[in-house]
Amino acid sequence: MKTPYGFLIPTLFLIFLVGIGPVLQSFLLSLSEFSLLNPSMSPVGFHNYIALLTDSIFWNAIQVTLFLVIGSVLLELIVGIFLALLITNSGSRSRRVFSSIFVIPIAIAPIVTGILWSPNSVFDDLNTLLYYGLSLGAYIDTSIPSTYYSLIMISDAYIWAPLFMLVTVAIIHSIPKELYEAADVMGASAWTKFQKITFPAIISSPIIVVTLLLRTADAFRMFEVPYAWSFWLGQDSILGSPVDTVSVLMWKMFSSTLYDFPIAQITAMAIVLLIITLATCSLVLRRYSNVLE
Amino acid sequence: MSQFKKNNTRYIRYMLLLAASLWVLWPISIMIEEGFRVDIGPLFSGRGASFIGEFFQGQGGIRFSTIEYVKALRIEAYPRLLINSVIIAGSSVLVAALAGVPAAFTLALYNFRGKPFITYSLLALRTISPFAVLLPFFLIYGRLGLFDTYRGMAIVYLIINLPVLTLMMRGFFKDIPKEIYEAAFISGASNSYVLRRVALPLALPGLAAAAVFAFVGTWNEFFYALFLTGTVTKTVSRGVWSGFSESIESFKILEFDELNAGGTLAIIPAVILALAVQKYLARGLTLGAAK
Repeated sequence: MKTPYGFLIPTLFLIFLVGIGPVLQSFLLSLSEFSLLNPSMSPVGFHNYIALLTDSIFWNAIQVTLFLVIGSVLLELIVGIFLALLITNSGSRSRRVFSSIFVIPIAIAPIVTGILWSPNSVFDDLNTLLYYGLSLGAYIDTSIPSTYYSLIMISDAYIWAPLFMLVTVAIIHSIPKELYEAADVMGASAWTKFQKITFPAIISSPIIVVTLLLRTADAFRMFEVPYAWSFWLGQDSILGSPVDTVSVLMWKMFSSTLYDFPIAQITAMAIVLLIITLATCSLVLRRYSNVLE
Repeated sequence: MSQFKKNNTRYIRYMLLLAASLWVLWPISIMIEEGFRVDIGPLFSGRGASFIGEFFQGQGGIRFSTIEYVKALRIEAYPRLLINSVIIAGSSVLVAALAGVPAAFTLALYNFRGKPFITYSLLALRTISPFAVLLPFFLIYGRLGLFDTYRGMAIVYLIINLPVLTLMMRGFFKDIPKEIYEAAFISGASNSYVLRRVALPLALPGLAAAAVFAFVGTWNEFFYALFLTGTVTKTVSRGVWSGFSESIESFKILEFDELNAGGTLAIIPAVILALAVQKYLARGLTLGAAK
């Protein structure tokens, strides 16, 4: 049959309307001097980008973002694999019950996760337990960077570890049973089986690589959880504070001086993020297009 | 001995499973529990020990109460936020489905020149940083009067719904055996007939799953709502964060009990819907990589 090009028209129109069009306009905005008070656009070339790349606040945000991206994606992967191993090794009924429990965080709005893991709710009770309940006299100080970075990572892993669990369960189910039978015949221990069969199968699977890449691209725009944390720490209006991911920094620039926010600089930053996204997507499609088919 | 060891590992496994469930459920249970709290401390502030009737009240304290939930649903505009979210998410998913399903059908069955471009732009649209498209929307909506309208919000959410529906449906159409399509085409059916009468009925559970999945995603979305909704179209996820009242909330003090009650109300429908399409969650979130 002939390709029904007409079927593609609505989707193409919408892609241009909400995707390519706005991105192009963002790019134009990032190349010009523009503000709401003075809405005439005058082209300034790559001036905004140069200003951005020489700005220590931006580099701080990039560092924080990279740190949080790497930390939380790794934590998600590890927790996800751990959950998957627990699930696949139990009986079918408990498997169904527990996997339903474990996927709940995916359905929770990220901003609600920001509330769930706020210093006021979880850590209040945890600190009471640590300080008085167990009489340790120790507590988690949520206001020092080394702590709240890990807490942001934990909050993020709380949402996304179940995704890695689901993916890993699918991979484990696709490992041929004969491999395990052969290992049993040779008298391998459970640990050896994990080390020699399960773990290599998980790590080398293109599905997990694609999931990792998509999650990494997603994590670069991480907003809700760090935003909530910047609020809990009372740093929601300080530019260049140690909670600023790039997205949070853009939000702060947007909201701090509402009537003359630096649109051009914000869009320049967004374009930098966009390039990271596009590069990741083309990597996924070039190397792993058969996985996504 | 071996039996003992086997039992032992089973207990350890169950303990670990319970610990992992605790990690998932504990924060949620705290949120639900704190939503049921009311702090009557301020009533007694500055008076030292107080007595109500003959009972010692200390410095007031925290009591069990459903007042936050009642307040959210009866006094404040929380039901309005629920309706807003349903209207916006529903209409956006509907438009995305109408546009995306035929495109998904074409992407699944045919090879043509622009195919990589469409796949690539859908994938990029899904992972794009919202700020890259947000400011043009902000400026254009201000000019066209679409700011804080249902239409405007439904259009913005196409950014996440269109890729999800198209790419998920492409996978479901591909799952149908080729022979079925071939048989239909050989008997002289046109593309639109095959889509309506052959492919769609077979992929209907998939379409429902994709729609529910996209709906939950829109329900939970916070970023665009933070920028583009005002008092008219404020959605649930934004209301949970910045207060449920319909008035301007910038001077509102953040009340934790209210936040927790609102959060609890917001996650109930999302969790129920997501558990209903649990089988397809991995597929939706990885855009078809995990089947």
